[in-house]
Amino acid sequence: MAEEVKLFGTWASPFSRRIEVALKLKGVQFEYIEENLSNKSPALLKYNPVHKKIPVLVHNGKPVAESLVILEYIDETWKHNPILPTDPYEKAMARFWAKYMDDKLWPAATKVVVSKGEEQKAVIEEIQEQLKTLESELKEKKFFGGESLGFVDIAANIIVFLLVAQEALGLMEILTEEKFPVLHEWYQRLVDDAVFKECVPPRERHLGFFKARFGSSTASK
Amino acid sequence: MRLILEEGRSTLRTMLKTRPKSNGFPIHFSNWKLTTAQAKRLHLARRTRPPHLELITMAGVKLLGFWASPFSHRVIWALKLKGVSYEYIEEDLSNKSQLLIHNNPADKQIPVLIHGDKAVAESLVILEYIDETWPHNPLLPKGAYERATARFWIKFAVEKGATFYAFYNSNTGEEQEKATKETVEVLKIIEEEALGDEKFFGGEDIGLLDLVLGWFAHWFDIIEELVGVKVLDASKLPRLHAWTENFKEVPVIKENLPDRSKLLAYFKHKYFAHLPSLDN
Repeated sequence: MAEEVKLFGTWASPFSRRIEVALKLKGVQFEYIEENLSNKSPALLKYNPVHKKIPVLVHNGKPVAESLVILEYIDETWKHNPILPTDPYEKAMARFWAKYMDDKLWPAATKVVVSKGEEQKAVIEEIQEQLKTLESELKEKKFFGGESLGFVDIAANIIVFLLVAQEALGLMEILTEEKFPVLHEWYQRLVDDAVFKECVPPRERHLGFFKARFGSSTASK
Repeated sequence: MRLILEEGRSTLRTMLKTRPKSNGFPIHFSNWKLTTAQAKRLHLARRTRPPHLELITMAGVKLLGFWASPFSHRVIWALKLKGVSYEYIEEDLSNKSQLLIHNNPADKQIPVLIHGDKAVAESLVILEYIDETWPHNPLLPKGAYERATARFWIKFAVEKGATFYAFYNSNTGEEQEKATKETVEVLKIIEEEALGDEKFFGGEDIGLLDLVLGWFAHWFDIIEELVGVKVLDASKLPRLHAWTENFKEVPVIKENLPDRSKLLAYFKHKYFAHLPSLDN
């Protein structure tokens, strides 16, 4: 049976980009549909009526929404090159840390771009605490997933977006090599990975996006 | 049983041959480098109970929880549904134990499941861990698409926590009205889209989504009583209301709910504590 896979996403969304990474890691052919969030397509509204949000994966006409849910669906459907471990405990750890990205890191990242002055400094400190926690979880591993990219590394793409925002807005450096020797190295490996690097927004356009949206707020150096 | 003891004995013999040299101090088993298989056999031999008692686990299971917490109860229900024996440890949230802090350093919250030497935190993560570790009586459907659908609704229920929190915590009449309206909308979506015409969210039997939404069946009406607004009633949300009745009738659930009057007193204290203008 011919496999029909569609991904509804947006170029600047880390949640959308996560799905691209997973599909590419598995070598799944898919049709990508770029959504305009201020003018959502009837298809998107049909496939995700509850939230009307991207990303949505449509596999042979059946929609799946919520990025981490989609990642698990992809891993269960196309079983080669697994992104989740098979051992239940390792899997639980992967889910915990991926959830950490969404529940802790993402809200802090969205706060940092809209806050100013002292408040912004405090949020950056909070983010650095979270990065320290992540670093102690990574330990000696090459990636959170072990030898190759896994569930948590894909979910960690939020960090890429955070650091591009940091650069665009002229903020103090967040993920310094000095403070985070281990995580800094991991980050370099992540962004150098052949598949991962195809799935980040084009740099100049992304910088422009942050400048345009949040640029007028005062930067703290 | 005899076979288990035999295996245990032969494991012990092997261990004695390969034990580390003693410096005159007694060597505890924990210092011996056992293979996982050896440890399992030894543990099982030491802990074997007659077959008619609860399910034997290879390593002990502990649950750190809080009596009034629905998150804690989700895990209790899952363990009971799987027939897994466990030790329950009640946490004093104003004075968290070293065990809790050590096993969930990331956010120091209950529930935490400790299985042997492994600790799992976050109730949703724990639930899936339980379902995968003890695969009988599955709590999630088999097909990938059906599982994705269940997980979608689980995320929805969790995300909408903010809406329910607003319902419970509104400070003005206007805020309360808005929160009530939004709560009704959310519950209507859950009734219409997630439950449909099924008895339970899991279909014929309760599943993971039922456990996650379980707090509606016992905690929510206490909140409604405190707030003074009834939302989840048989006329407005007939199917969801029927679900709350059916859910509470399931034996494992029925036998594992916190005492209602105790719960009411607990939330009353918290509720009035946050409204400084009320005399208490």
